[in-house]
Amino acid sequence: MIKKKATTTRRRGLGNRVIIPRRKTSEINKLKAIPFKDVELLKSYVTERGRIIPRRISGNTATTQRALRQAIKRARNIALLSFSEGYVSQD
Amino acid sequence: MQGYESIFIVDPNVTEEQLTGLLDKFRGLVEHQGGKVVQHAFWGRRKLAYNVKKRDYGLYHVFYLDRSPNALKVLEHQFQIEDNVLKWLSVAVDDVEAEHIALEKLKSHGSAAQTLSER
Repeated sequence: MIKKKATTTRRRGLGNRVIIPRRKTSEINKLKAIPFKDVELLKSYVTERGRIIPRRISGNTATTQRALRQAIKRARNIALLSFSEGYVSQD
Repeated sequence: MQGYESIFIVDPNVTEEQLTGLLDKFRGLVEHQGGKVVQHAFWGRRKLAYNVKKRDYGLYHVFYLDRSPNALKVLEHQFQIEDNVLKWLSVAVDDVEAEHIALEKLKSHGSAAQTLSER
């Protein structure tokens, strides 16, 4: 069987664009409120370095992301989450 | 019931008497201002995410207060003075009882993340 070249399947006008898969939505979108005391939950929305994962990646809605941001900041304040991780002093 | 949730971290090196003294003092202050400590919860001896006053661990205590105007102000002022309180955070909540139940649940069942993935 002769394999079709990829170029032949491309539709006109679309160029070399890759089809983006449908965005996965985040689980916490279903929550009514985001508890800032739930460290394990918050940790899944923070990078190893301690930065908040953007909603473009996590798939949160704007409302959820705002609530999440608030929760993470509160958790950091009360030493449940760190502000930054993995920094080693140079001296 | 609307109210405040006041979390404070006590130095883990305090003695039993010091701790009860501290808690009684806080409670007394609130009541003196006409407020009420609806619930008091001990969250546990937890590892701090970063060092606070050179301590690695802290005793997490949570006070659930009603909405009386001066009680929280006086309490926070006392937190500031007290050397054995490492950090504190007060948040206004819509339902004090519900928050208390949620904390107890968190203590016994762990994270909501698990229940989310089970669904």
